[in-house]
Amino acid sequence: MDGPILPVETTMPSTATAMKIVCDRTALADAVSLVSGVVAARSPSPVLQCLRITAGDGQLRFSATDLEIGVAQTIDEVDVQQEGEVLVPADKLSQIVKASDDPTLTLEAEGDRLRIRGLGSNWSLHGFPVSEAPEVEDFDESITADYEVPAVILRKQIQRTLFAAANEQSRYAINGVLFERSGQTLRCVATDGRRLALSSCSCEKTTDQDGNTIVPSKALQLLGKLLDARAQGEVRVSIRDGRAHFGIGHGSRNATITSTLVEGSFPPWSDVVPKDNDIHVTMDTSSLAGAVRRAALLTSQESRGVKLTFSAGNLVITSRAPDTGEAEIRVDCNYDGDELSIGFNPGYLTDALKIIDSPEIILSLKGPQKPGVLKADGEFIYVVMPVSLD
Amino acid sequence: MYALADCNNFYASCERVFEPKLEGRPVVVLSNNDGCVVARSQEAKDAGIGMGEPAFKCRDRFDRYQVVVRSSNYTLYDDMSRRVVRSILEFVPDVEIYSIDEVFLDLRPLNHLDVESLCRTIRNRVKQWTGIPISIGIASTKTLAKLANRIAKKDPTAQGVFQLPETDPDRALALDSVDVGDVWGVGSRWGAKLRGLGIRSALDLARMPTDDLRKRFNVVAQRTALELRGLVCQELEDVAPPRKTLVRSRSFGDMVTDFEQMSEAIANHAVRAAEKLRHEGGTAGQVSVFLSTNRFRDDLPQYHGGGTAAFLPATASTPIILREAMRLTRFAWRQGFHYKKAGVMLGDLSFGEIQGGLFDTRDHPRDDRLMAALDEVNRKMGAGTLRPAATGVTPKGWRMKREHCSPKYTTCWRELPRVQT
Repeated sequence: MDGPILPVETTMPSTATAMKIVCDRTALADAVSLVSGVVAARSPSPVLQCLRITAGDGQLRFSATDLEIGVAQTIDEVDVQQEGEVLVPADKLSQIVKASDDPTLTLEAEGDRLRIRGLGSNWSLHGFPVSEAPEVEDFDESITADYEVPAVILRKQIQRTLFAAANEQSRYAINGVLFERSGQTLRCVATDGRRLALSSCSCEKTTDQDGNTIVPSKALQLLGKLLDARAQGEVRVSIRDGRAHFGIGHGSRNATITSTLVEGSFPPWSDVVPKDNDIHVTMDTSSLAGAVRRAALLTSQESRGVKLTFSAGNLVITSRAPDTGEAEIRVDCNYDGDELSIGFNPGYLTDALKIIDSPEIILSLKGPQKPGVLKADGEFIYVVMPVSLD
Repeated sequence: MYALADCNNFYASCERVFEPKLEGRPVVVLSNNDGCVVARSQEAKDAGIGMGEPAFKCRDRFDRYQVVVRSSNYTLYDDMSRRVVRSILEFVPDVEIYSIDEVFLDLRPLNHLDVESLCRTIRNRVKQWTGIPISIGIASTKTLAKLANRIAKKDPTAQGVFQLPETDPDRALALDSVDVGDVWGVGSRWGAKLRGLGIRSALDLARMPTDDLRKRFNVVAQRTALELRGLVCQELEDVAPPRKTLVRSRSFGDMVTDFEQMSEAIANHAVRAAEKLRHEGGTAGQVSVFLSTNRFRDDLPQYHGGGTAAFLPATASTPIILREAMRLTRFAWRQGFHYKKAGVMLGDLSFGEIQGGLFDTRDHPRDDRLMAALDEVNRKMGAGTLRPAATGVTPKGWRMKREHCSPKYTTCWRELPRVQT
């Protein structure tokens, strides 16, 4: 794997290095990029802005933590010539690996420094003592999974709920996604108080203990990215010691995400899922999504809502930006009741419509002041509060 | 054509309307807590009293020139301002209320008339109906109208109304008579920079390459230069853009050191802010509270605190806003400091649209009825007749100092002027 290396002047001592590996650059870039996701742009401690690289047993392990969330990933596209460890700034390492166009890179650690060599490039990166790095746990044999979910399913669960989680402070613990496991059913629920996304799936039970946990949004963003890259096999989930542990893959290609849990009570979500909405309209998902997007072009900061007016066989979506103009978009639908108008924040509709992969959706309504419900493929429910447009 | 009607020495003129004996005497109006001079009659300006001067530094001159000193009476000034605008609307339907004492007039639909004569009629009628003297500048853009207004005020031969000539050399002569720093939108910092570039007058600025202005300054400077050339870049804003925040804050008359007084002060701000928001037909998605010590008192420990809470759905209900404001006050309060100022800011405002909340259990129609009843009682029986107990019962030291305040002649039954025969 080692490519030709041009002689480059360097200040590094010629003594034996503590770590030496030659690695496929693309695999290196992917791993560095993913694990760096946990590193905060600003941190009081420079060590928390670093990535720990450990070479051993024919594999390379990358880990990082912000003390709330820890990520570790191993890759095997590597030739470990000398085992060792190094702790270096994540952003610089990421930039270097991305900027290089060599097929392989050689990484040599000497003390707290990391030397990265390509065909005609040579970087020497100042790091920190590895002993200062907080430990990041692996999902190894010592951890018993509470349940397992196929990676592709868990990825879908995250996609379908995370977007609805709150970003701002609230009296409820809604800055994350509720994982509600009951027997062999896993429900993921997220809400920001204005809309609520619920996605259900089956899971393989490995312990009998049901439970609810709220996983922070940042941990799930990282898990989602990891599953985008490795959507194969099962994800093992364990909740213990106030932390959630997600284990993906086995052996030399495994990854672990651990996270503290969001403390506090998730709001009583099942109370706000309407059970008596008696108007059901089936629509083509992409037609509705396109129509809402087009109507939203003429909304403004002061006039954010779009109005959906249903009449026989027809839906008209209108919007108005006082300084700019008005929009009126028609969509076919199977509605056959009396005329009904309801306002929604168009962003809340498009957020849900873009993650629904079934061709048709059902919109259930009760009245202009009552929450609307979008349903797809029997597993996804999205409740959205209307906007009063008076 | 546009015109700018500007009230002369507005606050001082308002004071004179109901006290004609002040005519010909120097009059100054002081800021909140009677701190600084914020308005001066011409006689006070002639006596060398500067704008923004601290009152305590002017005491000798106040005595020497027998200056009449008034605390600011914004209730009176607001009402007089509305009366001036209503008088102008009798003649010109499209106006933009630019500030409490300035109104832009859109004269374009009236171009078939002699606009200068029309403006003289407006000036006389405003004086007759309200007692407030105004000056009017007329020109083809708002920036030029502002400049023309300046000339109307400064040049005695204009007799309060000046129409900027539309052709050179008269137009160039007028622009050349105005310092670049006095052009609307330029200000002292840009003025100094422009003078450094050899741009000394409004005429120089109008002749400067506008691309160059954009590069050296920004699009606002470019727009100002184009308007000085007569190209309309700013239309009349006849409907004021909806506000984004509503702030109620005041410096305290005496520094506050105990929590009860601070809590009362913030409760008052919260109640008034909620009342004003309802009056404007809006709702707030956020409330912030802030409190601070006096940054000019180096001898005292300094502290600035505050916090923000969100509402879902947005609200204008006094009890809800007050409850959160009180919670934030407890959160921000630190014992052992001398506080000088506190306030409440309502943010994330919306007008006409309300996003519903999933976990909201409030009875909104009941809330709305309660607030409507509260507002109606206070409208009929006077502000503060019905108010939450948290706002306090007896006057406290945190209230603003207004030792020279004139009565609210036009808005309070008890303070109406009395005529004796």
